Amino acid sequence: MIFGLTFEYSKEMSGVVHTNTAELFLVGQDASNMTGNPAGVCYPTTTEEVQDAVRWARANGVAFIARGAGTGLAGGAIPTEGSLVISLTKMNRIRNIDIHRRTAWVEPGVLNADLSRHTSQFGLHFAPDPSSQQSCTIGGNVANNSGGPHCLSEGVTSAHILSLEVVLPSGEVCVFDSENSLFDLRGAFIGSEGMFGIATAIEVRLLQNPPHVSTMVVGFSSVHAGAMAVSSIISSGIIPSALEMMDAPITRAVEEYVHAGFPLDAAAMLIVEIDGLEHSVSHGSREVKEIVMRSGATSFTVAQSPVERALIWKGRKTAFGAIARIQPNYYLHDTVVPRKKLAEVLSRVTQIADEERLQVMNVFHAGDGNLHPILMFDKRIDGVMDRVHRAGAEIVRVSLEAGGVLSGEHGIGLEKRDFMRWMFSENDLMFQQKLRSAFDPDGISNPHKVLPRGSGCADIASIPPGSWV
Amino acid sequence: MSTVSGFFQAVNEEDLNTCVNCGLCLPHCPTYRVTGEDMFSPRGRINLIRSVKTGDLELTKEVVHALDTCIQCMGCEPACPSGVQYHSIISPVKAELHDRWKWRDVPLRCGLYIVTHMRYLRFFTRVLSVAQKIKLVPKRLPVPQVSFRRRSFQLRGGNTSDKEVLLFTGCVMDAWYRKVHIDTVTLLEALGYSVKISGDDFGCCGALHEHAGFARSAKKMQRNLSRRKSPQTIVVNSAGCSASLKNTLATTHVVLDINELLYRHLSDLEELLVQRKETVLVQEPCHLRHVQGISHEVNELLKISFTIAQLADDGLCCGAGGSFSFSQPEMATAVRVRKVAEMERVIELGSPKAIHYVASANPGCLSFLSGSGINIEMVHPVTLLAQSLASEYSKGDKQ
Repeated sequence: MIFGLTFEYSKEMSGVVHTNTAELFLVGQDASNMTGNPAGVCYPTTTEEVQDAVRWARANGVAFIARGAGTGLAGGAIPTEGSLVISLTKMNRIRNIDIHRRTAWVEPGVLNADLSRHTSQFGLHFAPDPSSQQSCTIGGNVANNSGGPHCLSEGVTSAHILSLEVVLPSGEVCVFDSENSLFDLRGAFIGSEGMFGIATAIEVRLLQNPPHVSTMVVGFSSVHAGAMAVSSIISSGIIPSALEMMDAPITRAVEEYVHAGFPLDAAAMLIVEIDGLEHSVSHGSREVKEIVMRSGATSFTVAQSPVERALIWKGRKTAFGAIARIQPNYYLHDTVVPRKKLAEVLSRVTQIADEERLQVMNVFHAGDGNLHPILMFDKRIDGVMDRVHRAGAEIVRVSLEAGGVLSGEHGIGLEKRDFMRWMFSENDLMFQQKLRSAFDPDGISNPHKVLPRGSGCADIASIPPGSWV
Repeated sequence: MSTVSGFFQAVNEEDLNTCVNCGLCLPHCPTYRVTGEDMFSPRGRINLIRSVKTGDLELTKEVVHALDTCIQCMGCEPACPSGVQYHSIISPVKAELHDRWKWRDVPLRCGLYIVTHMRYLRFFTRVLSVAQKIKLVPKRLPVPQVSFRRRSFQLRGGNTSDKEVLLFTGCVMDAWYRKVHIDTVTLLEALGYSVKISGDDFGCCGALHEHAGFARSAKKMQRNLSRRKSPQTIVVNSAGCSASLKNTLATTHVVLDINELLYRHLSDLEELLVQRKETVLVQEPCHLRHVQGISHEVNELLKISFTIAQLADDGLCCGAGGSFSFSQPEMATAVRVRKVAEMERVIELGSPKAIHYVASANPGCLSFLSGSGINIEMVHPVTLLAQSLASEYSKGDKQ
């Protein structure tokens, strides 16, 4: 019994901490393959309750971790042994919407898609649209600086957060914005994966829904041709609102589920979306068509109705879940490479998977070179996990060699923590650790994540059992 | 992982392994929506079942509670990109829980016993109607206003027999919502069908029992039912029953939900129905939308006569769930509060800000939502359509 299992620190919180084994087992997981072993979970509903929980944790030397919907893929939400999970799913109110400034104050537990759905009555939406947008929370988007298909033209989460109310690991409440403080600390906080405290209210920028949208599905006879088409589109000066690629195996798996009319005979398919005013949309799509045809497209279709468009995106965004139709387990990777190296890295990925005798599928944000190779396997087969680890590490290495980076949008979490040294120097890591210590001197806010062991004295504990990287 | 507990062995391991823990089901689960806790989500429940089965987790009272509070609305199934067959996981689990702790559901068992024995149900209905008359029944109880006397069917007959159908009258639907049956007959006859009535002796579909976990009783009823003689086509106007009958009689009969059948006659109905000024809010029953995949059909039908308002909650359950609102009133009410709030939001946003009817094609949803205290008339879409029949087709004028 690590902390008497009630919040004696605060009367209001006592009894609010759930400690039954089943619940702890569930909050010890997210959408990755890792698991952790927390000691308690609480569900605050106000900023003050979050403060209570954080203060209690600090006073008792217990680590805490903020949790949203648990849809992360890098293990960022996996609690360390004996920690307190502060689940923010019950803080899910949209506090207000200012339609003139086009902003909204929301609590961290608001679901990404719910926010856009709620603001659609004013013709507004929240631009970051990760594939898990129907389930993931705005708080989680802030922690991971999430992207999504439409971030190609609109920018990732950090471009859409105006201010943040944060409970620091000391228990104090702070507001980070560009106007009322000396330093604009939003940039440090967004993407800090829960190490700098807990955001309890978030002011987001809302964008006007585009008046016209054209969504095109283009088939290619090879992945290489598709990748070259992506490069040509971007270099022609057109920035589509989304530019996505899927290879043949994933297209087939998804088509079976959504029936969106994807080209099943193509070796790769692109989803190109252009939005804006009517004239620019029609001009842009004409030009895209010319470019893809020149690049050897084998099929070209345009969504004829909002229903068809929705179906295409449903297919794209549920792609990773559709894998269970092929293998029971998957490992979804996330690296970024320069666009012109796309084709080259992709063929290396296929080669790596072949060498480790694993099936691989590719679905990715081609427009910004963000790869998502998905390794599929059945973990009940002996030794398969070793092969998956090796292949995963090799994919990261190949991406870095091509001039890429570790992660596009899933974050580092536990998954890529030990790869950080492949990319950053000891000095880089030391300064990142110093920044972390400035926010969280005791190292109790989501410890052991992102920064590899040894980059600071605060991080000396073990990886949660069952986790792997 | 290799150890095996004595629990949930009836659940297929492959079904459990199809779940990849992605979490895309979460927002489609009404109990997760109102609690925000993983214990009350499809992903969480699958995880619990899997771990109890393998012996990694004990079957504690918290686990039982998490499984008991699944409404089985199946909203998670169409949302699942991996195609997890959630019903084939949860049904045997519910059955096992009820088998192991029989005493838990004595009141429910009694209630369902009455329901399946039409003589008792009719008697109970009369008592209920008297009690309602003298205001002994609180309004928030999930029962509709019932009448002491039973209205009888007046079949017009005379239609050609190649369009013969059987109207499955069922149990609660017939005792409490006879009017919907009469309206169904009116519509079917206006479309040229010759209608036969299944009646009390035909039997119950067993959907309520199966849903509540009384698998054996349900099986027995389904077996009895499949022995009955009836016309080839069976029409059902309760979404829960049509979903169940489609399974039971899959090989022998064509079972159609009334909305499905009427939708086939959309153009005929456009001739028959008159325009009306009212606005209807459509509440989609889970067993129609998630289980049978019938969704836009109801809207298209009602659109002929009415202005339609739709909820923007992806067909989230209202909390009724067969007998769920009796066995888990707390969770059911929480889910209903959310649903009513969503309805009020739609009314607030609508122009004009008035909803005249809420239409739902399932008796459970109708009665449970009426108990919420929301001041809008809850009706079956069939009733609205029958009321909109041009006068020469409606029954009243013929007699």
